[in-house]
Amino acid sequence: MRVVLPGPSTAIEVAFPADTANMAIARSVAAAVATRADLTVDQIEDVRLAIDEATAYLIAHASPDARVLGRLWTDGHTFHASLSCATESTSAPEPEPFSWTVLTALVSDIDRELVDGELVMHWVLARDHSVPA
Amino acid sequence: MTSPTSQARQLAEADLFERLHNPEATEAERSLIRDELVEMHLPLVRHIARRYADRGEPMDDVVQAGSVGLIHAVDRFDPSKGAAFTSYAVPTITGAIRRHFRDTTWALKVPRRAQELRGRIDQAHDALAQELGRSPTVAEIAERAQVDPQDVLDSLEMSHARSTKPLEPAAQDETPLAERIGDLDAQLGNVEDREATRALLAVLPEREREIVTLRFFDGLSQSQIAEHVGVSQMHVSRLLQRSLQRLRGELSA
Repeated sequence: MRVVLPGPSTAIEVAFPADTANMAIARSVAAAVATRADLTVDQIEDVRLAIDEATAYLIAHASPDARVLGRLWTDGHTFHASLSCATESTSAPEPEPFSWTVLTALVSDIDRELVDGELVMHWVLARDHSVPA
Repeated sequence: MTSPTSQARQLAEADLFERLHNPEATEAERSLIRDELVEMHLPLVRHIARRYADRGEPMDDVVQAGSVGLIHAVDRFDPSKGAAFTSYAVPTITGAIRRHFRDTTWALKVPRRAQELRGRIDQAHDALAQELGRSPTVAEIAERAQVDPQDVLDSLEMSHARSTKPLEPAAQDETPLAERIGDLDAQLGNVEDREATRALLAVLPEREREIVTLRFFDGLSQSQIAEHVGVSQMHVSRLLQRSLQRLRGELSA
């Protein structure tokens, strides 16, 4: 059963077979959505890198023929990414320490959980405080 | 006519080259002299680089490529042959810049209009970054370059469609960035499983490793790293993306 990811009805969804070859598509869509939060160019590039790390984590634990689903939205000046993928793991796997270091350096409020056989990851990136509103 | 200052400069230059080739000079002395000669001729690199200003390539990257040419010229110039250093260096610097354009060809065919737009967008980006002291937003760049925000986004997208050359290895006379900023062990101080991280990062070429360390362990922004390394922020972004991809490959191998 497909987990209903959080997010407003204005969220953009992207779904693709759990294969690293498809990461570039998710990356480009996320960058386009991130501009709606008026992030800086540095931060938009960070969103791309974070999408890579997050989807690589999901793909590494994906069950055969699984698809990655991403919901991407903005809330004021904050970009949200919620990603999920079916897994055969019985608990949310520990991310590899280096990848975790990278992800935590890029984005905030990272959540990982296992909901009904779906590995779900959510994180946010809020606009640089030095940008005037 | 040679002005007194340029004459003094030429004397200083001749003196430096003489000391550089003095068999009794120590490696440390040579290294300092080489630095000084490179520094002295950087305006020449910038002058040549300016001729390539409208080709849709970030100026920092063009200057970086030209500087590598300059370093080679300083290392290979033989003053005993009687030619002036400048006449020897100009073709070497120009050649290095041309090679840079040849090697960073578009991976996708990009229409001319888009390339011209990209030039304007890059200029607006660089000017704003300097004025604001931070990375600009897409809206700010669009307003400055008088283009649609979508064009700015397309331009970012296009930057990722370019093939990315690895950074030239640090010239031997250059202190590695990591040494200037603090050594890797200190940077990895709080990292869980420090030895594993260190071993993992060792697969990257030196400068890529430095960029990864600066971004993820020192918390510098891409723009700050770009400034340290002397390349454009987009180049830093592409290098980070490629390095992380490689490291993920290592981890899953």
